[in-house]
Amino acid sequence: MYKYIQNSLSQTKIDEQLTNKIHAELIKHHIDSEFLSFSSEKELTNLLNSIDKVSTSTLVIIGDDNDFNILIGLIGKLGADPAIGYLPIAKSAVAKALQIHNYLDAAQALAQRKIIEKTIYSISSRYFYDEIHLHTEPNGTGTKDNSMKIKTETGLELSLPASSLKFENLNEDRYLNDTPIQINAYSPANNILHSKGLKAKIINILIKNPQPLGKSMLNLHAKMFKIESTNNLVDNLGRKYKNTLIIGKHNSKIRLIAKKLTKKAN
Amino acid sequence: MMIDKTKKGHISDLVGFSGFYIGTEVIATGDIKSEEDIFIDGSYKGTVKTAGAVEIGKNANVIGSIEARSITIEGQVKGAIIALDDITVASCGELTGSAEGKNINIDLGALVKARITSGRNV
Repeated sequence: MYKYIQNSLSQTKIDEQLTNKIHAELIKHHIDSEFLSFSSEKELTNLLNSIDKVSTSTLVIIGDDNDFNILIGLIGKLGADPAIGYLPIAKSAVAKALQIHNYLDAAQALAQRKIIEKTIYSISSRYFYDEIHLHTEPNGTGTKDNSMKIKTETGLELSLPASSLKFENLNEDRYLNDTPIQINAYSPANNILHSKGLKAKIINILIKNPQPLGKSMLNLHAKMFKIESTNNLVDNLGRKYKNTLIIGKHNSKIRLIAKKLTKKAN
Repeated sequence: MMIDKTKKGHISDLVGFSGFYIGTEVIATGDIKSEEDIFIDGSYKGTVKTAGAVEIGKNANVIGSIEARSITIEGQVKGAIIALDDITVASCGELTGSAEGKNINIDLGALVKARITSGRNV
């Protein structure tokens, strides 16, 4: 059985016309069912806990890459099954990697059920698939002494000013040294770390939207990172983290549905 | 990707550079083992070992040892450096310690207080 979920607060809205078209396409492939909604991480957690994992073969996220990453963020709660499908309704780097270019491709892929196993990475108690961005939260005290320490599994220690961090899954088969996570640190484009009140509220809104990145300060690859920051951290989806967290490989892979490539006729 | 010295500007301007980069604002300690090119422009204490090239930027202050395919120094280095190919100390560079490489190039104005070994059998 296929279960479809969508984020009612997604940055990419689905109108009724598109919803009907998607349903029509899914019906054509005999894989249609109700679309379930969530509007917070808590609601999504409850939704995932309520799913019958025995009868649900595939869980499909309808939306954009942010929505996909929100689902992946909680994937540990699903256990090994079901397989994860993605029905993109916006331009998507993740979907492109799965050879899925639009909802028509997605419906076909879901029907074909070509499953590939992919490594995901844990960040504190959440997970990410392709990349995740972290920014420091203002601490409200007005102090300018905001810094962070980064440690790798080899014992390399780096101290730097409070930065925007980007962690990227490089797909471990690309690197000989089994260092599949790339970190880039950038100075924040605007020095807004010591603001409070109305400014802090505006900052929180800005943090949820992609900020322009400042100067590159660091670029390296490792298997694991430990981050210690003077301030709490928040990611590009607005989710908060404590000021100490560990990023590393998740101990089991996820099963993703990709599109089967058809051979061209001669 | 080799660091292209003809390109001016910050390392992040180098399109396609995906090697190891420690910037001016960073203070690093520990060991670096890599297959890639490494560009250090901050403060670093430890050992560097890579199959790629190492470039020490103008703002860099490095204490430790470096082993690489080639090494270019534009900042300050104290320690032992070994290269399979060339070692270059630029006019603004400073090297204290020892250097072993196939070819050792010391630009006019460079400050070098080091034991130098160069030639085919290094």
